Amino acid sequence: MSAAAAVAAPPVAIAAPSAWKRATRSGGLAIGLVLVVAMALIALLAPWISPYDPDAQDVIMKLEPPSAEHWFGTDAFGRDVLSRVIWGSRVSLFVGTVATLAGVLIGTIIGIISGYYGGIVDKLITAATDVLLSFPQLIMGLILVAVLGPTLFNLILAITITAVPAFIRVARGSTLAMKERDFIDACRALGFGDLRIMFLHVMPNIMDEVVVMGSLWLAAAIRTESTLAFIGLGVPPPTATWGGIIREGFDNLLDAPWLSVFPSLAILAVMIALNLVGDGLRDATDPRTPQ
Amino acid sequence: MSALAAVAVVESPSSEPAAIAVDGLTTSIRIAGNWYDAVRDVSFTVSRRETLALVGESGCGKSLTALSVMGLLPAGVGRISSGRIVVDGVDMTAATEAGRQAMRGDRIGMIFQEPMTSLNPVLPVGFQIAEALIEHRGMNRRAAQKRALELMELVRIPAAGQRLDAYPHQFSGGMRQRVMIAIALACSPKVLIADEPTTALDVTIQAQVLALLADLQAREGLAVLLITHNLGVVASVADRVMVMYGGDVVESGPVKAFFRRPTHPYSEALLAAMPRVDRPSEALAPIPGQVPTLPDMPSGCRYQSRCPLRIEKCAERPPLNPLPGAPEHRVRCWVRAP
Amino acid sequence: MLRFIAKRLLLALPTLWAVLTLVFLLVRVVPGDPTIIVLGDQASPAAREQLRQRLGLDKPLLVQYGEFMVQIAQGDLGRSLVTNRPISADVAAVLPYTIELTLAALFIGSLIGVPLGVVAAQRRDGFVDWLARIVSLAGLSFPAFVSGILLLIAFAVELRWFPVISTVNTSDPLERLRALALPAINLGLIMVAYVTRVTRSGMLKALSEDYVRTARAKGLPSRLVVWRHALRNVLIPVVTVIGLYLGVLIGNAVLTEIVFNRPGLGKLIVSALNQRDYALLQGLMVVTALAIVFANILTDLTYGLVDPRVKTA
Repeated sequence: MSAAAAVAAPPVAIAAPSAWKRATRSGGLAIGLVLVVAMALIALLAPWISPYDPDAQDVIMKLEPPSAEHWFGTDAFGRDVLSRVIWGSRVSLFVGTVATLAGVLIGTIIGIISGYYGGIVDKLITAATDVLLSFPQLIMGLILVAVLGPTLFNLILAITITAVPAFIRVARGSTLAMKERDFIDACRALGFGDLRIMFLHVMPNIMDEVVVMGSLWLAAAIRTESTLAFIGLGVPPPTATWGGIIREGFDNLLDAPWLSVFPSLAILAVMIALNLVGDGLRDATDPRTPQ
Repeated sequence: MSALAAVAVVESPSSEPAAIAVDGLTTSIRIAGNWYDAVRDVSFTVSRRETLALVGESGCGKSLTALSVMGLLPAGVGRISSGRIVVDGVDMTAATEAGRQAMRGDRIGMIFQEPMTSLNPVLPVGFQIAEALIEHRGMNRRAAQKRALELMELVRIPAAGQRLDAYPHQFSGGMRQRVMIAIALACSPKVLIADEPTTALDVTIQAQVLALLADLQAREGLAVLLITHNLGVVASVADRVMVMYGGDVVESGPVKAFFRRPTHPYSEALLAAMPRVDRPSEALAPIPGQVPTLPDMPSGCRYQSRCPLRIEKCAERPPLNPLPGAPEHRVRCWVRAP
Repeated sequence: MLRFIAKRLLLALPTLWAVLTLVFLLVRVVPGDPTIIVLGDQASPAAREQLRQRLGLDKPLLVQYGEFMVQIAQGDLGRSLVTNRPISADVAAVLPYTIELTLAALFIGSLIGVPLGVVAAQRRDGFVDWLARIVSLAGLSFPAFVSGILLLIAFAVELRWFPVISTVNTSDPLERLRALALPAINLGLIMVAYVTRVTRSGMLKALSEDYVRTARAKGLPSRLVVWRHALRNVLIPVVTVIGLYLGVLIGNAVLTEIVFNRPGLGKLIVSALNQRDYALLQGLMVVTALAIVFANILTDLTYGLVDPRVKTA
């Protein structure tokens, strides 16, 4: 076993110190990570930090511009926009994270199987992936939610389905590259089973690429969620979602632009943070990145 | 002909000034934030109708010397720290970038090692030849194309008329190198720098291209600075030779004298590593070790880490001394030319 | 060249078939009864059965599939459930607006993205490079409806430079251009981001190529070395990316049209969704699929223009 471990040792660890150095030098990754953690904390602590009940209506205080009591103003029902934006982060981050994780998991497993076995299975999976990827992610998600009906579960399902083919492609490509390496042959020579090779030896080695893609796709998933909510296919009201608040604000664009502006800024912050993290990770893990 | 006579012929061709005169050139390159001298205090001249061969392993400073002469050192990575380069009467080191640019392609031509990648894949070859004429001679496109056709015929590209508008991928390696030569010679320069011009080619094609170069040199009276690691090429086309190691010139002299009496231990090793018809191939002796990287370069004689003759004094940098009785044959070695 | 086009069209047929099959399956195989989604769960069984017949859902799946394919081959997208008008006529009425918007965005994207990427690569880590990175980060991050709303608030509501509602049924070309401007900028920004990124990384690679050194050795001014020798080669990946992201662009065009209240496929999709017009939705998906397959063919044909190795191979 010790011989097997030596031969089969994943070669990724070697690059670690210089990868870290590259990542910290870029600075973008650090800023992105801080922003992401801050957003996650806001979402988790929503019940304690939001100043008002997000669903509490106040007919006297409707469409109030930002003030000391209502930092982000109030909406057409007199609800506090700041509280709604804080609570809305929960939906966006939850849907995005769950859908991305599910997409990563399903896509990676199918991709590894496809790349590892090759043959007719691989050909079929690749062809299906190509067709799915040829359709714009947004329109695909839109149609799926429209057909399935807008519920939280269906939303997550639809976004997961749009994410799966992308991860199949990445995992398959990485697996094919891994197959060329000697240590997979060494594993086979030692009589390891296919499952063991795929999930204990191939998977850890393609993970850095999957993680980079994952952070960029998390941004895409949150973007899709908020877009669907904006079109009216999100989690149904009165639940606060960023896209939903913007949609309501859009109807009052001329009288109360702040209604749209603040949730928009929240979405932008998350998008920029996740893209910074994704790009930073890519630079850190890709040894070809010019210095 | 004695060694001395050969020297006399090549070193004093006529009263006209040297086409290339390099004096005390030191070129530095930046590695991980620090500057290292990759070419140290190199001086040489090349006259018209003469070929000087620059020899050495990769990483010895040959190509950097050539790029210094062209003024093509990569910005921020390479720079000329000291010395003077005069080409065709123009001081390249004192010139502005615009001045150097006006020299390149007009009065100095250069051909590179890789004919497969040195031509632009998306532009027709005729246009790539004509470009320098449009730029330096102010020719219009039609006149430049006409001259490009003549140049393609000059470098003996068959059916040149039909291939003016062809793209590089439609040419073989040897034909592409002929196109490169046509580009370099488009404006009839007096100086040609050839950086490993035949290394990437098949042996038979190598001979053809070398013959073409020799022919063109005679016809145009070119001064040629030939960079190569192939001593066979040196023996067949060069008049003088300069061996470089670790950025230092370690031996220089007329070709005949050099091959008759290679004196620096590195030159000896180079010749011993070269296959020859008059020797059994088992006698090939590869040079042990490899050229140290610049940060690891020993002070003093740079060859000391691989030299079998190493003595204590090698910690000091030896001067480039003439050999007794052969003033043009110089060697940088405490043991061989104290 | 004609043979190349014919070959490429033939190659597109399997993709087209697969995408159309996907559209067919999406509407039929997903769980849930479409008649309930269209009519609501209060509808009587008789009404649902009638709708089922109208949609052809009562026939066996394979028969439906055959009819679907034959109809599309004849250019027939069916009739709207709500208006009973032929869907192809509705699409034909608004398609020019979507095409106009997409082309304007492509134009803006290339006109700004290519020079920005070139200068950024040339002066790496300089001010323009920094600017290019911010622009591409923003363009890749912003959902199209967010950037659209922010543009609308800034330039239409606050500054009043552009109309809030992009009326297009005007004969005055200047008015039409003014109405196109903000939506096109919004969609164009996304394209700028993609094009800048690819141009920048392509130029960084191209500038270290041997042929660039040859061009310098020829004594060409750096203007020609960069814009003629290096950029010509970078156009190949740039065209690839533009082709690849045409799908993204079409998706975002839909959103942009909604935000700017502009006629086009986007508004048609939203009304199909709101009115639960299944047939219209399916027709719109077919149109989108056709548009993407067509865009891919166009991309391949453009290769022939920028890469001589394709033309003569």
